[in-house]
Amino acid sequence: MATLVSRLLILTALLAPAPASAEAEVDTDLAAAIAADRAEQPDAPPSSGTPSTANALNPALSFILDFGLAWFSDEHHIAQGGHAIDQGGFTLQGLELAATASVDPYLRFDLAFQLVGMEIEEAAVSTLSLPLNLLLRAGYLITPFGRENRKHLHQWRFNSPSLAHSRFLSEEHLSGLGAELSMLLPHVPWYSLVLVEVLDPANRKGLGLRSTSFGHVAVRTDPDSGELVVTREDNIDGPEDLLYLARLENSLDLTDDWTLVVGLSGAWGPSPYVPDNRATLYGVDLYVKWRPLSSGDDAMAIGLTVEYFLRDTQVPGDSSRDHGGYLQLEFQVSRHWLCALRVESTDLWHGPSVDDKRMPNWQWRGSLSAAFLPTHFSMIRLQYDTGHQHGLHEPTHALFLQLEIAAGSHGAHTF
Amino acid sequence: MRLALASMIPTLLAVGPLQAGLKVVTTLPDYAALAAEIGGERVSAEALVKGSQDPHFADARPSMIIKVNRADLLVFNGLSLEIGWLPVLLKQGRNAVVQPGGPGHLDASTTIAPREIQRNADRSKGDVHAGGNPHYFTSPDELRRVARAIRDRLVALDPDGRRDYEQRFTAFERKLDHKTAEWKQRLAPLQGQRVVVYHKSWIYLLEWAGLKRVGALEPKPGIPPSSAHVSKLLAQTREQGLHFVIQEVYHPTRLSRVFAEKAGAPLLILPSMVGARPGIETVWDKFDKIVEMLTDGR
Repeated sequence: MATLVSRLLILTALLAPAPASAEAEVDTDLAAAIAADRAEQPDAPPSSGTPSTANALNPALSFILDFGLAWFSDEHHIAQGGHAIDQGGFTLQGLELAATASVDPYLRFDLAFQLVGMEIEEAAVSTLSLPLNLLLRAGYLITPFGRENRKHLHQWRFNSPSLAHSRFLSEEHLSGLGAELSMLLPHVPWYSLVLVEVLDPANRKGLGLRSTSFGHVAVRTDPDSGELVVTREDNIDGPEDLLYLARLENSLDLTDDWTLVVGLSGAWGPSPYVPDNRATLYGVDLYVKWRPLSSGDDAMAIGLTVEYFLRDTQVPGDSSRDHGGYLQLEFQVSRHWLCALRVESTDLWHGPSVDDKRMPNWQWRGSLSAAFLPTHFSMIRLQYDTGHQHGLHEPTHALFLQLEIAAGSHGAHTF
Repeated sequence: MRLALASMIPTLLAVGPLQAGLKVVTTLPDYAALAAEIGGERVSAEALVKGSQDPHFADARPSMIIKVNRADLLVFNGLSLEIGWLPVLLKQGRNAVVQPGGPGHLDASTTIAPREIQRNADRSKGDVHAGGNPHYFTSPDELRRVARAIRDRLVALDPDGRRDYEQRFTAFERKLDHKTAEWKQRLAPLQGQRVVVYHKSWIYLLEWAGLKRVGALEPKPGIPPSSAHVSKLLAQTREQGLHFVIQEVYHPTRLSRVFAEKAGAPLLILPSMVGARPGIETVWDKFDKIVEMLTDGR
């Protein structure tokens, strides 16, 4: 190996560009024969064999497994969030079944079913051909609030979601039953998307709204203890109980190598903490990617993601405002190595905390990861975290080793 | 800073609506070159991927969504070459014309006879394409078939231009006949020569040129070369002889250089697509260069 490496270092001479050769004399008989052969060629030549078409109309299926091993310096540490590794030892983070298919010329179906916990993450029907650049989605939807919420576990650059994601959106995805209408703005010389969505925040047998910022609740008397408790309601009383979301997303190719995406998101709905109180959530996200396509070295890329959230929640006689976000830098060294850095914090700005346990007054975390991808379908990731939050004695540390595999059809990746 | 902003302006404007009549968007630059050749002034043709880029691993950039959204005709390679990114563009592009079944949806692979079909496809065999090897754009014969399909689709979408398209296609075929005769004549002395490739992406070119693939540096498609595999291949080629090592511009070259030197054969980094190297702007440029490099051995 050492010999090979030394030879690689020595043998760096570039091949000289080939000089233009002289025009060859064309044999007219040969040209005539080629023309005759060509005339006999059928438009679509018979194939040497075609693969079975028996499954051609079945949905494209894939299973994605995430399995992890963790060590924490202290058993009291920052909660890692949904599908993350939250305790020392081995954890099965997720086993997702993804299916996608065209229903007919008008509709498409996408499913993400999480077998760990047996829950639907997303079951959406999308239109394929509405006029005016419109696209309608309906079903159990993962909402496109910001960048991270849309990404599934296997698309994360770390084994855990960001602190802001868990605090402001959901322990898993901000998702729920509802409908979404989006429009790709015509006559704009760059990518510009406007989207509105309405979700039902009622608690519907495993398909309820998954959100840490919104929900339809009421105060009930606990029949056992006689105490008043806040419970999630399984019905809604009117439009004021629904969750409304909007997003504006713009993207530009700054050069052949640089792409910029900027998004603004907002959500308005009932608070999940106090009946008949409201909550609002705002988000801004930015993504910049550099991939040197113009120099031909397209295996390398650097991406920067920044997301920031601001939330106002009504509480009796007061309001609570908290905010937070993260900055993530990812460096794709080659097709087989991907490194990432994330720094993040969340903070109670003013007013009382609406949930001391899940939303401490302040918290911060720094993470480093290095992933090795033997192929496009498997990955091993090593990650180090250090973090601290209100209520802990001192910063804690953690190490994670994660294995991820995808078996089945090759899914397409959003930008 | 002012200079940097000024340099961005052409790129920003390039994202905007295309100027000519029919808007043809292709995944690979070769198909854009063919569409421009056959469509002439009646079409504007634009490729989503650069010729120097590995088309397996393109990003579904939002700017591509806009291009697909505004296209009258989408020509793509198929055989799962673009499976990692094209479905996103089709879904988000919300353009019924270029959706499967639409008049502007042209899967170029339906016009050719795929080689190396995997009847029992399994990922233990590497990143295989069940429907067949997707790199048929490396053969002039296959591009002729794609060009014919593009002509037919342009005629269907723009019947008023039938005469133009047919005349231009006839001229294209005449030139291709002439160039093929020239290329074949120059390649004749190389018939049966033995080739090692980096990735198994050259079968169509090798068949067309009469060359013989004896191995690949990747032990399986998409799997990085291992010392054991490469050593075994080297021993085999030393025993049987080797004339060329061939690869695309976007694969790493260090191992290929070492292997080629040890095997006593030249390494040829061939332009597999239009735009793979500066100055290669048409399919004629591409095959001229390929033939030149093969015949010169460098």
